[in-house]
Amino acid sequence: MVDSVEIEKLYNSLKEYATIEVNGNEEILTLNKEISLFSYSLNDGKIVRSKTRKMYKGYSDTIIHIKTLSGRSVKVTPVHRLFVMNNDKIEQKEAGRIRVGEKIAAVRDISSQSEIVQENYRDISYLAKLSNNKEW
Amino acid sequence: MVKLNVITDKKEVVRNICSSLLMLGVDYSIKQFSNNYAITFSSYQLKEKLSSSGFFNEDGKAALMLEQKCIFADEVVSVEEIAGPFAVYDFSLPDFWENFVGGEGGLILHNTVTQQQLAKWSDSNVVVYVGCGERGNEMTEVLVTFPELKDPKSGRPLLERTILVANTSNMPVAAREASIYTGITMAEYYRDMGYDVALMADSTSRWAEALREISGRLEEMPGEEGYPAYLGKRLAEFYERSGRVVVLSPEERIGSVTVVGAVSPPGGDFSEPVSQNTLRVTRVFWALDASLAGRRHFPAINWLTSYSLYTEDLAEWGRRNVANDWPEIRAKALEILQKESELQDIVQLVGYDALPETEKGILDVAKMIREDYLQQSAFDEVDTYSSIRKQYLMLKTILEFGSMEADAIKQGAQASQVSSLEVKNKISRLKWTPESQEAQLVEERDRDMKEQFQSLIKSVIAA
Repeated sequence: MVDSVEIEKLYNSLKEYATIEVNGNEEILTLNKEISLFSYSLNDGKIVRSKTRKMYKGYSDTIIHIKTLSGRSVKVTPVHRLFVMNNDKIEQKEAGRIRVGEKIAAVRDISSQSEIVQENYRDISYLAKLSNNKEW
Repeated sequence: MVKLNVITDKKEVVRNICSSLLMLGVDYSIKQFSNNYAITFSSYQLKEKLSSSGFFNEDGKAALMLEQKCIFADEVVSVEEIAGPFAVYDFSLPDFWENFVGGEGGLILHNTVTQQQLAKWSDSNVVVYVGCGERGNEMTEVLVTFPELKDPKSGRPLLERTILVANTSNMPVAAREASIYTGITMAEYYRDMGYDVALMADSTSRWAEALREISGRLEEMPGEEGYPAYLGKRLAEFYERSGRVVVLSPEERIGSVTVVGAVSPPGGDFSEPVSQNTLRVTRVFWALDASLAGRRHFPAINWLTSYSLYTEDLAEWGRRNVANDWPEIRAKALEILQKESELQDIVQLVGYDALPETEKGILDVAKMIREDYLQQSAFDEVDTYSSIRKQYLMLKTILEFGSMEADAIKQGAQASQVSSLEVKNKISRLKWTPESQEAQLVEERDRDMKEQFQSLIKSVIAA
């Protein structure tokens, strides 16, 4: 089942099922059981289900609120990196350095686990993509 | 005609690319050199075949309709910075390459390796930098570059949690003497608030020179090299102010001051009074070695002259938090490096080739420790920081290689045969491996080592 939940609520609800390591004003949760979430694998360019036991809580003086044309939005620390899509490649960029007009990687269909396609693949990049496609 | 080369050491990639080219009808050639494969083909022919097979649109862009898109480029329409402070939350996925989907509607967010982040950026809350007797342009450089550096934790300029105490070399000596005390008093002020403070005093040699000058003007009886007789006492008083404390407060706040003092002895002579008196009170010493820097070995910390008197105190912690054999592994590595230093003297006399095979083996392992373990690049995203766990895995692998090499040499193999084993090159690449993949890669290397040494010994016995 695909479900979305606020990370703060998730953190607070899982706190009692985890070992907490406190370092100054930061906390690391090591969960007793793994939780499952969607992620984008850079290795094979797919949306995959990942499992993790680690969650983190810290503090930041500022946060960056980014909104996109499709109505998506995210609030992250200025140093958290997002994936900016240029003509022929995807590069990581800190949220604090992202400007209006740039294009960031967004998930079209959260429940889909199909291949990820970058725009404007050409020549070698495209061939590399083809070579990774097992069905080809 | 433009020829394209794809070079890879992965057989699966070679197989897939070749089958793709074959299906498209593109001519190609393939060559193997050492472990790599080079596939050469015409860029023009590839484009032609791709466009005729419908992979490209009219405008030359890749036709994407063949595959179902599940990510796309979403244009940013607003970026707003909101002042906090805020509580922030994050996940850390075990696989470095997986980046979780988050935000409202689904955006791809970078995977932060939490342990790395904590160790790298949260060891101290406040940094006090005392530029004591430094040249004016060096302090200016700090003032110019620090505001550009971002504190990864808060996203604000690093300078916001840094205090600079500047006393350039043209300023009065009395102020230079006071600068060190000013710095450590400010550090204690934040320590008492419950912060962990790191104080860098650069350099205490200039401070001691100021003491000497003032002492001379006061017509005090000079001690060794003209420094005042109380130099040792003053240095001890300064370093004694470091440490972890429980503050006398209702909530028993805990804070700490860590002092990193730089000593710049004239001519690199450690026997001079400032170095000697500093070594008497401090329990850790990093000796920066100009000859190592000249050989491009960075960090240029000499492993034989540097020491820590906390080794015994930390042994038990290491057994609990790193691995049971961590203290022994560390001692063994140091022993090999010391042995190498002794052998280097002999090598200078008789040459490497004249050494017995067992000693050639020791030199080879020492070289691996120096180049594959001690050398570190501050400019590489992965190599810039290694957790103690990663350090342990790397060192253990190198020492296991050394012990297998010693066994193989006992059974008749030559050091040159061991050096040519493929796994040796792979071990050298461990330091470029992200933390999350280290354990798996070390396991693979262990397996490779065992296989390759077994086959080497078999071939030696058969010969």
